[in-house]
Amino acid sequence: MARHQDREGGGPEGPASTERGEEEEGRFGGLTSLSSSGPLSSSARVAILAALLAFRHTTFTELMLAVNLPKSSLNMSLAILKENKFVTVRRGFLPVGGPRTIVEITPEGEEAIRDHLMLMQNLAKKLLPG
Amino acid sequence: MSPARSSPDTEERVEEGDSLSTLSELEGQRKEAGDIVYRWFRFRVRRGIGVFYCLLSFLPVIGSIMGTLFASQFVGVAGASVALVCSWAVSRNAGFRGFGRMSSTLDLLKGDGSPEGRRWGTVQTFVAITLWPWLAYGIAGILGLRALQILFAVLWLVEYVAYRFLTLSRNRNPLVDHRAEDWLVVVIIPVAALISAAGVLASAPPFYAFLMVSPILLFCGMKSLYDAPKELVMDIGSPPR
Repeated sequence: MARHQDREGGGPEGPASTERGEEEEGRFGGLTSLSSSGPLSSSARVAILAALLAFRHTTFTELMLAVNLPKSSLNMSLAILKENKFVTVRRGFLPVGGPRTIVEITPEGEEAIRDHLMLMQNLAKKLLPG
Repeated sequence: MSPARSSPDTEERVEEGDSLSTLSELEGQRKEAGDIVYRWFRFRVRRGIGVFYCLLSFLPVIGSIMGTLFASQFVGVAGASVALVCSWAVSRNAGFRGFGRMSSTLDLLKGDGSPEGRRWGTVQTFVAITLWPWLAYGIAGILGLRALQILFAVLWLVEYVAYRFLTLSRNRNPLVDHRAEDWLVVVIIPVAALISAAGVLASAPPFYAFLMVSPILLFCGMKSLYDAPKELVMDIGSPPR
């Protein structure tokens, strides 16, 4: 990650290195932003956002069951997503089940996961064998 | 840094290799996320189906009560139809919500999708296929056109089975699989309609044949609800890719 950032900044090696960086950025377009994107650097967080893309909101209990993460790890993942404004977490009341913690995707989250998956799809098609 | 790595070509190759390895890592992460989401979607859909079958088992009871109370077949059919729509809405909240979007999200995770839900309409098609023969059957019953009633019951059965076969052969990674209980429900409802229309149970009220399938529907619903959490821990032989 830091390597990419150094390269983008030109670094100590001068203009030749910057040109190479730009060339590679063209070929691997978007990879830098993907790999340095903290909130979507874990498969669980990608799964949470991808699933919420389909059904908009879910309960914390269902998330815990589906992603199969301990409560603390899930809380941490949600905090990261919340910090990036990808999800909102609120207390709600379900007719069947009573009071629950409800996790809801935001428009920013929808856009982020769509872009992430589309970019991955394009890069994988372009660069990975098979 | 070694002298060999200071050559611009070598450095470029190393950086390209790093980028490819990062990409492979991200690709692995996407596949892992795809597995989680696939199991999760199947769990939700199975839960929705379970709730739907359970609620469906109460429809004949509601229809019978309304038909008897108001001494009118029209009220019975209308009551059962309204209850059917309500059951659909409840089960949609329990698991069907965003069914089309689930399919397109899976496509995106597999790597061959578009950002929009291109399968929009799957559920709507199923509802349309399911509802019209029932309404036609009910109206024919109210008008006392027994031959048409039988025809619509047969059409209903053929449509159900054809739809199931078509979706089974076209869908490579189905969110809904075709279990014994699903086939049982698909066959048993039109068959009950056929029995009722054909007057096999001549001395019984019109809803009697449907009342007899209620316990079977309830059993199928309970089984689906019991099986739903198993989807979350299932072993995906060929994951959605």
